[in-house]
Amino acid sequence: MRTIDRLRSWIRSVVYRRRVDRELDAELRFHLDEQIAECLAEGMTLTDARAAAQRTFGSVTFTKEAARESLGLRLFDELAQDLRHTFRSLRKNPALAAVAIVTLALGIGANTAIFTVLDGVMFKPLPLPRADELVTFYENGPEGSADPSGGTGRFLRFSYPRFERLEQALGSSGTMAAATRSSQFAVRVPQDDRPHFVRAQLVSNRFFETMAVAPAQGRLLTADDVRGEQAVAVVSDGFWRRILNGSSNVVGRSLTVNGLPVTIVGVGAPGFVGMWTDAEAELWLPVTLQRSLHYANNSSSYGPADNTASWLGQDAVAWLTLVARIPAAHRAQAVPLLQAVNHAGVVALADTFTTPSARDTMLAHTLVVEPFSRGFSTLRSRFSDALLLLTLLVSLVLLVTCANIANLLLARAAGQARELGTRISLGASRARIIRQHLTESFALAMAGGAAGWVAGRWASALLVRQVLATGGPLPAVFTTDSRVLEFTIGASLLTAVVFGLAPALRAAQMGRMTVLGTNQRPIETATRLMRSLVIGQLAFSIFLVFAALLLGRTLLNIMRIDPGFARDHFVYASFDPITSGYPPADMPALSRRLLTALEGLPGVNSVSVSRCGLIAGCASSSGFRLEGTAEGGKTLYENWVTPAYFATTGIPLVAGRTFDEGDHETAAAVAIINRTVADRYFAGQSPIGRRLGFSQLDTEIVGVVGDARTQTLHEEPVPMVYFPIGQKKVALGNAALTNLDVRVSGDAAQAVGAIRDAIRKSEPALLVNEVAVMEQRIERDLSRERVVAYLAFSFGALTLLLASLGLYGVLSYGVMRRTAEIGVRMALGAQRGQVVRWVLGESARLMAVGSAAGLIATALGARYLSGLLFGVTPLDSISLMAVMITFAVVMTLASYLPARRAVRIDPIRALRQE
Amino acid sequence: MGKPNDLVQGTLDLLILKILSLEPRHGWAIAKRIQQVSKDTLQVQQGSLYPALYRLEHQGWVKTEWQESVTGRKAKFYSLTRAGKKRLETELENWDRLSSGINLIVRLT
Repeated sequence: MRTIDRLRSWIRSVVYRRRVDRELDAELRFHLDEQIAECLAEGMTLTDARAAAQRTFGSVTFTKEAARESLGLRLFDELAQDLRHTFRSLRKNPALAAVAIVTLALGIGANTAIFTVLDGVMFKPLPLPRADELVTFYENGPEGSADPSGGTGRFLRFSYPRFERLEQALGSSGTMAAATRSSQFAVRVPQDDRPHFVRAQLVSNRFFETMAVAPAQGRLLTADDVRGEQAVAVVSDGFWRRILNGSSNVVGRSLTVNGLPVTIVGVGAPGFVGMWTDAEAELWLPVTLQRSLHYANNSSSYGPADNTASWLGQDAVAWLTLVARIPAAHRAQAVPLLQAVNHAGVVALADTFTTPSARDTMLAHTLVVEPFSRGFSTLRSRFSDALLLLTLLVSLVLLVTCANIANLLLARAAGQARELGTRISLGASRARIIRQHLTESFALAMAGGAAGWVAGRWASALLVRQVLATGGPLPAVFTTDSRVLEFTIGASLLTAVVFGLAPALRAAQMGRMTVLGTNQRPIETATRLMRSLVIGQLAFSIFLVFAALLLGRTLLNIMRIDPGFARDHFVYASFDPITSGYPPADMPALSRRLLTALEGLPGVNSVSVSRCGLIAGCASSSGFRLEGTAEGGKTLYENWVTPAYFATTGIPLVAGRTFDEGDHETAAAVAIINRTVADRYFAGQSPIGRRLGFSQLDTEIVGVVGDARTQTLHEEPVPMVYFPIGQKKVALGNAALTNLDVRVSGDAAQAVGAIRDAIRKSEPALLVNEVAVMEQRIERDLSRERVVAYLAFSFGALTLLLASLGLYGVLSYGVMRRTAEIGVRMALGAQRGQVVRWVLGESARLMAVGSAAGLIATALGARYLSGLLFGVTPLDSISLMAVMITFAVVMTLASYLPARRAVRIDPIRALRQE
Repeated sequence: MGKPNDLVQGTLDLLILKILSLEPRHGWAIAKRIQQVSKDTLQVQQGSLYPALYRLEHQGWVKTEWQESVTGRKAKFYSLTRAGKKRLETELENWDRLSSGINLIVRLT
C-alpha cells in the first residue's frame, strides 16, 4: 500500500512539478513572513526584522532542494540535468554521436530482423485463446518419422474413419478436429475474370470450436454442414478484404471453388489463418466435399485405395492432420485412451496387408501427442539450425558494435579526465558521475534502438521474402509486433549497459585519480581497457568473416552440384488440371494437346509433360516388387512422363531404351529405372528385361537412366521409376499431370512468354501456376543457403569494418596522447621509420593477440556451423588462412593513418602543447 | 549542521506527528508549537522542518490542505492520515523503549 502511495506521490510531484514548486515557494514565503511578523512584534524595524528573519531562516534554496529530495524529486531533477548534459556533450561531439547511433542502428536493426524471423518460425504461439491446450498427433513408425514441426510426412496423416474413432474416444475430455494441409485451390468470384489461387483447408465439423475461433461475420461451419455435404465455405478476414474487397453482406454470396459452386456462410476472426503459420489458409470447406472438390493432395495410402470414390470411407487413405484441444487436467487420462483406440485401428489396417514384413511395420506404429501451441511451420525444421546460427552471429555483431562505442566513450572520457576531476573536487559523487555517463549511454542506445527498429522492420520483411521466396503478402506471424518491440527495447537497454557501464566506471575512476594528482594512471587504465575491447572485436569478427566465407563456399558448392539434368536452356510450366476440372482419364489426351501446341514454337528443341516436375516439391512413392530380388516392397519414387522427357530434361540414358510412341495404352507395360535402383537391387546384373509391379510383376524394365536430384539439390538422388503417361496399367489414379518441361535453343528467359501464351491458347481452361526458367526453382531450393550466406557476409563485412575502426581508434588515441613523447624523440633525432615501426608494432601486437583469440572463438563457434556446410569442413584451413590474410591487410590499412599522423608530428608544436 | 539544538536523528518525525495528532497546523505553527511546548529547549530549523514534512507527506502519513490561517492568509495545513496515526503509535512505542534504554544507561551509578 505504502509503496503505491509513494509512487502516486512521486508521479504527482513529477507531473505537477511546477505546481509543487509554486506551493513550496508560497509555503516558505508564509513561514518567512510569520517570522518577520514575530520580529516586528518584538519591536524591530522592518529592515532589521527582515534581516533577522532571513538569518534565522537560512538558505531558502537549500531548504527547497532538501524538500524536493524528500519528495523523491531529486533523482528526477538530476536526470533532467543529465539529459541536458548529454545533449550538450553530444552536440559538442557530433561525430561520436553519429558513429554510435548509426552502428547501433545497424546492430540493433539486424538483431531485430533476425529475431522477427526466429520468433515467427520457432517461438510465436498461434494467435488463439489458450493455445497451450492444443495438441496434434502423429504416428511413430519403424520406417521413418514425421516432421511434427512442419506438419509434413505421412506419419502426421490419418484416415477419416480413424479420425472419427479417435474423436469419439476423446469424448468430453476435449474437442478434436481433422483438417487437410492448406493447399492451393482455384477460386472464381463471379465478377472477376481470372481465378484466384487461394490456400484452403477441408475441415471436420468441430474445427473452429477446437481452434476457438469466432466468426467476424455470419457463422462458422456446423456439424450439419459437414454431415450434409453442404457446399458452403468460411473465408478468412484476409480473403474478405483482398478478394471480396471488404464489401458488406458477403454472407450468402457464392464462389466457384475448384469448379464447385459454394456459398459463403461466414468470415473468420481477423488473424486466424489456420494451422500453418507461414502457409496461411484463407478458405475452409467441409471435409465431406473432398470428392466434389477433386481434392487429391498430400495423401498416402496404406494399401489399395480407390481414388474414384470419396476418401471419407477409406481407412487405407491417410490424408488428414489431427488437432485437439485437451485441457491439461484431462490430458494424462485422455492420451492413453487415444493411443489404445489408435492401436486398434492400426491392427485392423495391418490385417489387410499380405506381406508379413509390411504387417509388422504397421503394427509397430504408435500414436504420439505433440504440443501444437505454435502451430505448424513449413520453415521450422529447415531453418531452425540456420536461424540459431544467424542469432549467434548477429549477437556477435551487436557485441562488436558495443565494443566500438565503448571505445569511443573511453577515449572521450580519458580526454575529459581533468574536467571530471574538477567536478569531483566540487562535490560530485562517484555515483553521480557514473549515472551521468550511463544516462548518455541510454540516450545513445535509445536513439540507435529507434533507428534500429525502423531498419529492422524493413530488413525483416526483406528477409522473410527471401526465406519464403515469395513476392506476395507476408504471413502475419512475421509482423513486427509488440513481442519484437519488446525485444528491440530490451536489446537497446542491454547494449546501453554493455557499452556504457565500463566507460562510466572508468570515467569516475579517472576523475578521482586526477583529483589525487596521478595524471598518467587513469590514461593507462583506459588504454588497457580499449586494447582488450579491440582484441575482442578482432576475435569475434575473425569468426564472423570465417563463418561468412564457409557459408559462401557452401552456397557456391551447392550451386555447382551437377543435378543430373541439364539446368540451362530449360523452361518449365506448372499447372493443375484436376482443379481446373479436367477428368483424370483425360490426362494422356491433355499431354498430347500440350505437346502439339508447343512443339511447333520457334526455338523449342523438345517438350515433355510429366506428373512431377524437377525440384518442384512433388513426389509420389510406393512399395514395388522387383523381379529377382528379395521378397518385400521396395520404396521407389515414381514419375509418369511423355517419351521426350529424358531428351528434354537432359537426364542421360545409360542402358536399354527410352520411351517411344509405341508405348501406348494397349502395348506391353514398360518402365525405366534410374541407376540408383539398378545398383541397389540389380547389382552386377542387367535389369533390362526384368519385371516389376505391385501385386503382379507385370511391367518390364526397358531402360536405365542416370541419377538426377529430382527433389532438391541438397539430397542424393532417390531411387526412381518412370512410367509412360500413355499406359494406364499402373494406376495414375487421381494423380494429375502438373508439369511441362521445354528445352529451348536460345535464351530461356525470353522463351517464357511465348510458352505461356501457347499453353493458354491451347488450354484456356487450364489453371497455370507458373511458367519460368529452371534456375528459378533451383534458386528457391537454395533459399536457405543463399539467405544464410548473404547475411553472414554482411555481418562479417560490418564487423570487419567495426574492428578496423576500433583498431584505428586505439592507435590514433595512442599517437595523440603520446604526441609530446614522439615530439621529444623526434627532436632528439629519432627517425621517421622508428616512429612508424612503433605504431605498426602496437598494431601488430593487438592483431596477434586478436588473431589468437579469434582462433579460439572460431574453434568454439565452428560446431554451430557444421550442420549448414556443404563441401567444406567447419575448420577449413585454407579459408582460415584467407581470413587471417584479409585481416592482416585490412588492419595494416587501418594503422596507416595513425602512423602517418605520428610521423607528421611537429616536434616544436608538440613540445609547446605540453 | 552541528547546531546545538539539533534533534536526535529521527525524533523530528515523532515530534511533528505528535503535534499534528492534536490538531492540523501549518509549518510555522508546528515549529512554534514544538518550541513552546519544549519551553524553548527544542528549536526546529525550517531547513529540517520542511524536508521532514514533505517526506512524511510522501510516505502517506500526513496530508495537506490550503486553509486560511489566523492572520487570514492562506497557509498549507498538515494533518495526520490514518496511516500517520498508526505510525505515531509505533514511533511512540519505539521512543519509550529507546528513552528508557538510554535512561538506564546514563543513570548508571
